[in-house]
Amino acid sequence: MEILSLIGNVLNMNQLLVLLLFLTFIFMLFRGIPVAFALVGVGLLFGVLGEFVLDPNAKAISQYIDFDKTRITYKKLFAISGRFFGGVIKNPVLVALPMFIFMGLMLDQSGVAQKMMKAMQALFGSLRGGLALSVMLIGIILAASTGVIGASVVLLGVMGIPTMMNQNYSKEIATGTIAASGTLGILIPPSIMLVIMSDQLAISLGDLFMGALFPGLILGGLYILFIIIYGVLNPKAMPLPENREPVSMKVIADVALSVVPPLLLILLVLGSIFFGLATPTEASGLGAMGATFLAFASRNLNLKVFKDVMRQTLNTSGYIVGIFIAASFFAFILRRYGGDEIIENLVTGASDNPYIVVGFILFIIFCLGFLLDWIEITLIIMPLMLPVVLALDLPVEGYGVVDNPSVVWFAILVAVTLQTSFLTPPVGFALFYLKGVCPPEITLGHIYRGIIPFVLVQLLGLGIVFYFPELSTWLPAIAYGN
Amino acid sequence: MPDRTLDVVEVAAKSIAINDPGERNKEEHLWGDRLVIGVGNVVAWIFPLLMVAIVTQVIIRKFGHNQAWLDDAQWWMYGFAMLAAFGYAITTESHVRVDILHQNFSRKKKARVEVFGVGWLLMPFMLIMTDVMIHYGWASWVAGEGSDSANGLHMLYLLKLSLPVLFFIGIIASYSVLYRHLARFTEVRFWKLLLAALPFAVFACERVFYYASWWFVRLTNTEIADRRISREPLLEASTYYGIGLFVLMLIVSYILARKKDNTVGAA
Repeated sequence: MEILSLIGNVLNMNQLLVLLLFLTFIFMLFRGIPVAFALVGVGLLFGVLGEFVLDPNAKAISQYIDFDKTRITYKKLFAISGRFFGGVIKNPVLVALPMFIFMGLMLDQSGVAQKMMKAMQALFGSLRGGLALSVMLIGIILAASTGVIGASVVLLGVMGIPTMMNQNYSKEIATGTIAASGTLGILIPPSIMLVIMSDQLAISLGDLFMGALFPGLILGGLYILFIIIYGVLNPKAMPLPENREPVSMKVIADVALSVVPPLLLILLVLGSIFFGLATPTEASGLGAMGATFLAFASRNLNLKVFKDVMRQTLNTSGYIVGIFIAASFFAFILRRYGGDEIIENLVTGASDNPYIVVGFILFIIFCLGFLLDWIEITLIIMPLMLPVVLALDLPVEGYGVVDNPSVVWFAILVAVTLQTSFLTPPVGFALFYLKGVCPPEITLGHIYRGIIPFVLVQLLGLGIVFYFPELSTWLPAIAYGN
Repeated sequence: MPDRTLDVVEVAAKSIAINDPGERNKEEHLWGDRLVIGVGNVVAWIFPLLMVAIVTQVIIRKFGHNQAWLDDAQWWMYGFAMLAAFGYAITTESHVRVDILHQNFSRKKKARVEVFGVGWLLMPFMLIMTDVMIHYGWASWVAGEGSDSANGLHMLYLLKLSLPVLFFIGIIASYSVLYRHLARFTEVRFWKLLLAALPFAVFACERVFYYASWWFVRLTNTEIADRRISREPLLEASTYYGIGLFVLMLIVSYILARKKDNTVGAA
């Protein structure tokens, strides 16, 4: 009790408990307990603590330290049933989630990536850094197929590493290119991360898709520029193949033939949203159908593949929805302890300058990205940050069309930040996925050295989006203007 | 050597071939796991169906026939599939974790972490959700809840009543995972299972006692109004009775297991 009053000089009881709650959560995470189980576990522990230990003794505690009752009871938990039904089940926007997952998996199976790789290699073979450029372009075009970063990094790595090693590329540039282009997928629409962000931040999915397009393309462009410059300055890192075939009309036609189907698919999805022909949810269904058709047309589709794709969709949806359910329960308990206000005050109190506050949030998210995947970060952190961002009242131009333009801009910033975080050594996610598919002569050291210039490019991109918010609000304003 | 490069791409195409998540570690699976996988395999067909429903909707709307029931059907299918997916991912052990330290744990230590995560953290939550969703679905059934739009899909209570069933399937999935992982570091006995899922077991005992006494009061006391029943002293003390029931079960199962082990040991 004496200790309590000592602590009371610094924190009140609720702040102390929220701190303990997060520490318990982090401890469980490091023990390797699945994130969803840890979230519900912490929720239950503090729920029981609140109802049976703290609240009955609230008066005694208040003598030593400021304490607001949690007022958690089992009866109150019944309120989460309606919230769960309305938030997770009856949510037409989230219908896009399994559809985009299905589309991505189907696209991986359609073999378009392999075809593009073959064709582009022939075309760019005689260009210095041609292979790296091919991988980068495929990464940008196939950004659709991803969402779950591991998947795209593995796909590009399995395909690109052996070919690049075969042509004596430096290990650094080979791995850097693949990790960087593989993570672009979480930013370039249609990305399932944006679907979840739009749900959590209560902004239109169409706005977010359109808003992410320019920043994504700018990053892709910066990468390509970097590879070309690097090739000129350091030709030994990207040698030309020994026996080059001359570029013939056939080679160009092959590239066109291989690139057109996936481009058509992207056009189908993004175009139908842009021209207002379909809602993002409907576009997801069209995309899934289109990808199935691509797989069928390339004769890669049989009943076994079809079944596997839908079972894999079920599995991926399962672990995403797991965190959905768990995070909403966690948030319910956190709110009972006043945790949302405590965190809001903490973040807003960081500075009087709203841009520094945004920078502070991004820094926190950057650090969390070392530990958690985007699914957890979007579902746990975003709802807590929404009131903060709204309260900052940032002057972001919405052209009178985009609702909450500052939130759209903020979401894009978070997406780019997360992407950077996943690439940053020593613990970036993408690097470890890549290590998993590399031959043993490529060490983590090569990967770390190779990714550093890309992280710098990424930070440059982040800076550009930060200083020119119009980049993320202009296109949605045009798309939904009329 | 362009030809060799092309070979490499061909090989790569094969190595990223997709697999069936339900067939991994199949040899370890118990009846519960196979049940959940079986349900999942059927539910997975919802995704292509959903795809067709969306595309149909887009097309017929272009011809001016807006079908409200098709709108409802989309999120019905999605919602049902997502919750079934939750249980499926428990069985396939796909729920995401931070594995910086975990990947270097020994097999036994990993199993202990899993037992704690599933038995102490996940299972009580699943039971709460089952209990809560039964009431939610029941209230919807009693009210005969329908769709928001006149020609939408009515009988919304069917969807709502299916949710507790899916959470219950999630409990079966969790139980099987718990059993499998417990078997990795000890010989499974009922009392060990009770301890491995202690909060779940205590809470389950409490709920059994609570509902039993609710119906007992309801059937023996015709005077009392339904919503007053939970204030009866018998029900208010259900927590203590629940703990008592749990301790009793633990002791009895421990003694029975000891007896059985001794007779096996003697023979």
